[in-house]
Amino acid sequence: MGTVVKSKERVSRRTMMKGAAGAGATGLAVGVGTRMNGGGEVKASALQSSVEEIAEARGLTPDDITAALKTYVPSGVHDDFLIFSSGGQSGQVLVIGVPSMRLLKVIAVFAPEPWQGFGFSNDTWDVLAGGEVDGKVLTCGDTHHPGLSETEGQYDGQFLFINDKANARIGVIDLRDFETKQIVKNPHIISNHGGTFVTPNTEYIIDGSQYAAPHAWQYAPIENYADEYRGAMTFWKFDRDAGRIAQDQSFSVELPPYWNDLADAGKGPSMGWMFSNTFNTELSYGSGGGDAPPVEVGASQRDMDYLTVINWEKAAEVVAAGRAEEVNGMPMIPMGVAVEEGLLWFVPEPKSPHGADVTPDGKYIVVSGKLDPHVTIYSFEKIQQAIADGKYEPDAYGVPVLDFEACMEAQVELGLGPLHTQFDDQGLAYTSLFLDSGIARWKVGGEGVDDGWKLIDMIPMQFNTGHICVAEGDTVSPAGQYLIGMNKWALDRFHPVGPLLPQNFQLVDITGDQMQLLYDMPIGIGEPHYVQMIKSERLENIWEVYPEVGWDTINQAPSEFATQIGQERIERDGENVTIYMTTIRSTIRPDYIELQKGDKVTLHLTNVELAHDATHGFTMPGQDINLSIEPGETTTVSWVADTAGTYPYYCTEFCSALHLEMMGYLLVTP
Amino acid sequence: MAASTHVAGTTTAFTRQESGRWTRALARAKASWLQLPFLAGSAALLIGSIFLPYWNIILRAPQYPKGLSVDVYVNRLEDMRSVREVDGLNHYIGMIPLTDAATIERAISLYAIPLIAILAVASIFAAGWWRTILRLPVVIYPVIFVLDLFGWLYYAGHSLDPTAALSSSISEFTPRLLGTGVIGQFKTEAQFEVGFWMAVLATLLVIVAIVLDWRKRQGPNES
Repeated sequence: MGTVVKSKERVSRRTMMKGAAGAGATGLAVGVGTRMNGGGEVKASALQSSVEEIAEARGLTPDDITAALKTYVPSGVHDDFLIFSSGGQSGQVLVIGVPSMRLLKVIAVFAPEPWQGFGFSNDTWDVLAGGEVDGKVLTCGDTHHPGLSETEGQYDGQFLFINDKANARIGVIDLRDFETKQIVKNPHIISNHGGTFVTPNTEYIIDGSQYAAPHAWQYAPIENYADEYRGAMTFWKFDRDAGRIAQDQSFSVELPPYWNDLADAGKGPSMGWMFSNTFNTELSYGSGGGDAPPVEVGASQRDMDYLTVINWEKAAEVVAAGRAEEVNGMPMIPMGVAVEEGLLWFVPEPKSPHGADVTPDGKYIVVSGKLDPHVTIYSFEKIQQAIADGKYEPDAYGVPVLDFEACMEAQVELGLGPLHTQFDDQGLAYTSLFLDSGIARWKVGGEGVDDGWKLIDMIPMQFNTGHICVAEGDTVSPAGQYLIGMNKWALDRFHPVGPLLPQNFQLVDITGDQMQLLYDMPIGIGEPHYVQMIKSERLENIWEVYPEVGWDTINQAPSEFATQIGQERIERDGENVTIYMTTIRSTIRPDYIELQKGDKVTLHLTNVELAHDATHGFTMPGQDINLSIEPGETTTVSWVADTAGTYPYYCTEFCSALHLEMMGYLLVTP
Repeated sequence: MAASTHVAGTTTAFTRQESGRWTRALARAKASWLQLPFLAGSAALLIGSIFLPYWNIILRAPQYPKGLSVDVYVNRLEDMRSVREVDGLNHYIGMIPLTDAATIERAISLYAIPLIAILAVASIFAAGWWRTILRLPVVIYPVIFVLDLFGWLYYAGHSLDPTAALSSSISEFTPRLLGTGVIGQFKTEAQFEVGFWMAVLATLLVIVAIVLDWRKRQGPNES
């Protein structure tokens, strides 16, 4: 079991599950009895009768009770896994414990968030502003696909990336303090569904364009779609030491105006390559003001779309060799160069595909049909062979399209609307079925595998499953054990809350012969898309408090504005007033500030606390200011004292018994 | 000694006198060589104890599941995180910060402790009662430490700022020197640590040396 903070003696989860999974309440009571007898307190028989009474009173079935036992995490005990979930339209990232499905934190990324003070302090506003578009700071985003940093193809627990599909931006979150440090705007593309997917050592963060548009956010008439609209695959270089995306070392590969969807990096034998499913090879842009059909029809005409295959290692060499063009301040490899260098290939995929997921061994790429009941499995080796054998024809843009039969390893019929595939530690794959509203489990084939490429079973989900996630299920060594289905519709699963319903995360136990639904978690904060699940033990570098008092949390270094107790002061230079303030239970120093109307105020706050959880907040009436100052943190806020008046400011975190007294008066004289 | 007679060949009264002192001191040391290991061991223990905690207090409350543990060394308090937190809590009852206590003692300890250790060792060269007198500081040092610590605990608990936020809810008290106590929602556990016990052992070793010395003086070979 996870980190046991209590000193109570416990049996391991596996033992508990074995005890519990047998035959409902009876087997269960024995399992629990073992545990409680370990503490020498409760007799098994007494427990059994009370469990039965509770079950009867609450109308619980034996399956319900095993599900409860598998998910209950006692007070003070930590979860075995954490998931990082996109917050969808909230523009945020959710951190949730598994198997308890307890929400641990909402990390502000693309939208201001008052509790964390994100977007309210100068430093966090600057992070938000890093993603500005033509001088306009955006305060919303559509987060889709979180990507944990990896080392040798496995999550390393250091950083998390998340894309904003709506504006083709990437946020970088530092997993020492779970805060957003950087937002970059893609200078080439207008929207990015194909992010964020990291290469096995986080060399690059892959970011694929969705809706084609003229590069660099330019205008071009819609009739010129085929000629002037383009797609791109961007490779953001990640500087791990700096904890930042290095835009000056990043680049894109130009693509035809098809729409890229999801992507995955190759690993093992396919290291150095990446794969993305691509649709709308019909070049539909809807009516365009004319009689053409809408996109849903126009983009669904051809029987085959493409799997886009790019050799990113080669691409980086081509950029280094100076064969890329500078587009809006960042290099882009023109399509012609990419084709000439042999780093860009297409492989046909059945109609309007979704998902492109590389098997843990890096040998195969699984693409879901979406409008086709199969998953299609491509062999990386066969793709390489087809390239070597010259089995390709150029498409309309000159990109070589490899022969489908030559690259295809297998097709497995799973059900209707297959979307996303993940893998476990037993050689099994799991694919969400959107239309059938369920999850199919099937066996990965290949050399030495009997009965491979075969459907095993399916579990119904409630309802309309989009992405799924198996623990570490997109790494080289999946953990298995749990699967989470991200269901778009909840319908009747929860108490009604009006017409806007929460999404439904469903936790599934995949260890047994039958997959078992364990828990429904409503997500009432936006529509998550993808999540990644990491063993909590991998997150070993989390700070309890900042390393030093007076810490610049954006640059993760001592702040030049750090203020220690006794150094509090108010400095005036004409109408510019700088205040150096400290907070410690239960005093804000200075607790009296006098300003003149029109003063331009800069306030540096340092929380001089060193104690775990001793966070202070800061708010000022009428100024739209709300800050979080975590132990050790120094943060800054500026405003203009444009209205004379009396402003009591105070700590917004209930920090101590004298929390209400933790305040001060700011007066603005007329 | 040979060196002084060699100088200029004319031995002055002064150097003769000096020479005689050294010769006698060395002779005294040689005669009581048996005490030296005890005195040297005592000095090593005392000097080593400077680097180790003498006293520890742990404060436990629901909000502090790991407890706040403060180690008192002869010249410092550790760890600073706990010290600051304890000071932060103490300010509610108007108690002086821990770092404001025993400032002189902490400042001189790094010199004073090696000094008394060296005096005790050097006593081997001394004669008569001087031997015992030079050894006495080491003997009484642990007692001085405990009395000083108790004094500061008493002072801290009896000099509470009457204007402090919670001053009305607490009356004067002395934090426990040893064992468990209760202050507000905190339970305290205090105990001596390894440095203190080393100092006590140093004392015992010196007492052995003193006893040896006394016996020697009462014995037949006393000169």
